[in-house]
Amino acid sequence: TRLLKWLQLELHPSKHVHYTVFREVTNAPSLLSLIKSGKCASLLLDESNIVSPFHLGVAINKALSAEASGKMKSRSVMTEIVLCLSLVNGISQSLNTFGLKPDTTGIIAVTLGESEEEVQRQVDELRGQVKGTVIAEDDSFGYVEREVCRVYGVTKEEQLVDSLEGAVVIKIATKI
Amino acid sequence: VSTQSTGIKQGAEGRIYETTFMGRPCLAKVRFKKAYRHPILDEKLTQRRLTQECRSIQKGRALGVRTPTVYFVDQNSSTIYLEYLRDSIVLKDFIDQQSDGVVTVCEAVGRELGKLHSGDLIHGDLTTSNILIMTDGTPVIIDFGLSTTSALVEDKGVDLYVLEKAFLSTHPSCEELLEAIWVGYRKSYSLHKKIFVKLDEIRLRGRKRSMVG
Repeated sequence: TRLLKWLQLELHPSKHVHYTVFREVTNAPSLLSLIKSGKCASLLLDESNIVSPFHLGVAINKALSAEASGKMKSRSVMTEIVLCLSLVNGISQSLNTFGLKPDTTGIIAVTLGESEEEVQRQVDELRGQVKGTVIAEDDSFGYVEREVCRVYGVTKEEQLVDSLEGAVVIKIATKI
Repeated sequence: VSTQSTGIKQGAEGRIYETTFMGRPCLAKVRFKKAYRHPILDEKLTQRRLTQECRSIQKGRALGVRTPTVYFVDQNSSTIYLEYLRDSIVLKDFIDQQSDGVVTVCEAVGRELGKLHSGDLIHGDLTTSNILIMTDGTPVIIDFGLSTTSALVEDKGVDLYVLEKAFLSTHPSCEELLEAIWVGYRKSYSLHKKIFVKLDEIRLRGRKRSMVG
């Protein structure tokens, strides 16, 4: 199956970034043990707190830049992406918010690679690991607005000024 | 900054490039290194300006004022990547084109400025080139590079004075438009009275004004 959900990051032209959306996932607990044992090459995120592919891309861009300049705050690019999504600096708390939970049913998986083939391989592997439906068509993420506003501290005023996406993206980008 | 960018403007502080961020139109504001300064001092100053600008853009939004959203802050190259609002024109051009509804728009601009000041956010460089008007008439405040936080009436008064001077020199005989801005300002900032009293004082001070008498 052709991969369609590529994120084009102009500042990191050599990196290939792909995301996959899974819904009606039934094996979150076993995926959690898979992650713990290091057998999952992709980053698995709970769908509830990610507003859009752009939101995701802003965090990934930040993480890749930190990696490129040797200034990551965590040990790997994948955990760095989680830190970049989060407004707090603790990896445990950030994983709690954005990572998988035993009752997670919607997953956004991030796959990075130096080549399209490498990404394709990892996504194929991923599809074997996740028991759920791959959403190939529309790009609207199943986020929970109330949750996103709580996690990102978005006030009603801020939401009126611009979109929820704009409010969240600026907080990620300006966090030190 | 990627090679697909084109330089579009250069100021005293740095250069602005037009580029894309995940395919979206984006402006990259790159701050120069000032060679005449001591390198460590220059580094610290530039970083502080960068964080101030970001904080102020964020604060502006928290106060309900539309600003471009920030996509990425690169501290290594002192570059801010911002949303490029293409469906907008600068207030300066909007006025020059004598567009319809210019009075209403100016009042809306004033209301936004009132929101900033009621939240103690000083823009620092208010000109008609730093205010954009979107196609739906919404004002967008840009360029928070010289912005600070202050509760002082003096600082808010000066902020408005800078706008007044810039406005009247760029748009002579448009006093009624400036007045419309003040009308809007009064509507959104309850403590406007003190500010306008101070503004009168500052006008008397001004350049080439004698402080004798």
